[in-house]
Amino acid sequence: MTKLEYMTKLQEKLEKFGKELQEEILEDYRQHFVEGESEGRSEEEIIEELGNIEEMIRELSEEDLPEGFTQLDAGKEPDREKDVEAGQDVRNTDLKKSFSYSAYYKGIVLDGKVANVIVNRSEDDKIHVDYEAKGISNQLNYEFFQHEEDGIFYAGVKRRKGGRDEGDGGEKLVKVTLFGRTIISYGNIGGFGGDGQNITLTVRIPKGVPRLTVKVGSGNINVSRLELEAFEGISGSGNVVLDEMVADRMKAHCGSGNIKVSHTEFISGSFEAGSGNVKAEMIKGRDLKCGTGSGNIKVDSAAADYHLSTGSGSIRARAVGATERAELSAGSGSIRLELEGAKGMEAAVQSGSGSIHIEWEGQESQKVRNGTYAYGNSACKIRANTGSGSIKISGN
Amino acid sequence: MNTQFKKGALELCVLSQLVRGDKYGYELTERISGKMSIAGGTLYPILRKLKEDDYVTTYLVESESGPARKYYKLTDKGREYQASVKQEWKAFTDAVNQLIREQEG
Repeated sequence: MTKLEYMTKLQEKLEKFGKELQEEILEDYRQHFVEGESEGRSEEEIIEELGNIEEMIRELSEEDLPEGFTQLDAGKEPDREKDVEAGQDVRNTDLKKSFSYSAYYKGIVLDGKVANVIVNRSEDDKIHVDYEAKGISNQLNYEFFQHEEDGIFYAGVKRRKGGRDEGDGGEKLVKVTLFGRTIISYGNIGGFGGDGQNITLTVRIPKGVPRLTVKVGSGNINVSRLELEAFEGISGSGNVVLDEMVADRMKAHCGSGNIKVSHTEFISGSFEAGSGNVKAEMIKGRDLKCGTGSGNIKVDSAAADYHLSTGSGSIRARAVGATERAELSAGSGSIRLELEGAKGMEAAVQSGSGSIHIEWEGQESQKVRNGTYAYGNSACKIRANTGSGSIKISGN
Repeated sequence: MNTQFKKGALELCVLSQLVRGDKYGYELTERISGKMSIAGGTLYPILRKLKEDDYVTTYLVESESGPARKYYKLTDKGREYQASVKQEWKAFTDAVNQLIREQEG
C-alpha cells in the first residue's frame, strides 16, 4: 500500500466522526509521515509502524461513540405504511433497516438487550425506527422485532432462533475493571468492547405519546427532546443519558453504568445506579431522588425536595430556589450542599469522623459538632449524615 | 490482547513518557511502538482523549523537518492521574504475577 492509498483509506474511515475530528487525526498522521521521511524511512516502514487503521478507529470509537451517536448515518428511510420492511443496505458488514409506523399508541416499550437505544423526537406524526447491526456476529445472532398489544407499541432486539448461544447477553455479566474501565466482560458481545461490533436502535417518536419505557441489558440508553407523562429507563451495565426532557414522572435505573440527566423538567424524578455515578444538572422539579451504591452524586437543580444517598461515594449538590427539604446521606464519602435562594434553613448534621462546616449568608463558615442548627426562617429542612466524610453546607 | 486492557496500559505508557518531559507525537510513537507490538496510530486517539480530559495540553514548535510539531505536556492533573494509575497498575500486575507463580508451583 502506498502512502496515498493509506491516507485515502484513513480519510474514508474517519468520515463518520465529523470534519473536525477527521482533520485532527489526518493531521497527526501527515505529521507522522513527515517526521518518518525526514529520518530516511520508506513509506512502507512508516505505514507499518502506524499500523492497522481499523485498530485506531476502534480506539476512537470507544471514546466517541457513546456521546456521538447522532453522528451515525441513519440510513435510508422509506416512508411506507406499517410493517413495511425496506431500506436494507448491506455495506461492509453493516446491516441497516428502517421502518415507519403511523398509528396512535398510548405507550411505547423498547427492549434493546445488547443494543444501544437512542430515542428522540419525530418531526412528523409517525414513529421512525432505524436498526443498525455492525459485525457479522450481531447480524447472525440478533434481529429486530416489533409488535403491538392493547395499544402499546413494542419494539427492540431479540436473539435470533438458532443463533450462537453465548448466554443471554444482557443478563449474565461478569466484569473486571481496571482504571475505571471494563477490561473483561462476558456475555456482552454487543458492547463497545469486544470486536468493535454493536447494534444501535434509533427511535424517533411523535408528540403525544404518553408513556415510554426503554430497557437494555448491556447497551446504553440515550433519550432526548421528548415530552411525556411517564418515562422509565433501565440498563443492566450501560449508561443512561437523558437530555431536554419534560415528564411528570421519570425513573432511571442502572446496574453498573452511570446516569446523567440534564436540561430536564419533571414533577418527580428518581435516578438510581448500582455502582455508577449519578449526575443531574439543570433540572426543574418537585421531588428529586438520586441514589447509588458506590458512585458519586452531583446535582445542580431547582427542586423542592431532595433525597440523595450514596454508599461510598460523595455528594455534591447545588439547590436553587425555594428548597423545602434535603435529605443527604453518604456512607463514607463527603457531602457538600449549596443552597441558593432559601430564606432560612434548619440543618441536622451528623458525621462519624469527618469535620462539619456550616456557612450562612456570607458569614464566615463555622466549624460545628453533630447537632441541629437553625438560620433565617428555618424554612428548608436539611438532614445530612455521613459515616466518615466531611460535611459542608452553605446557604445563600 | 483485549483492547480495553491494552488501552489502559497504553495510556499509562504515554503518561509515564511525558512525566520526564514534553514530547511530540512521532517521538512518543517511536518510543512506545519500539517496545511492544501496537499499531502506532492508536496513540493519536489516546493523546486526543488525554487532552480532552485535561491530562495533557499541547503547543506547537517550528521544526526543521517541515510543519510545526505538536508537543504534548503533562498538566498537574495529568501528573496526579499518572501517579494513581501507576499505583493501580502495580497492584494489578503484582497480583497477576503472584497468581502465575502459584500456578508454576
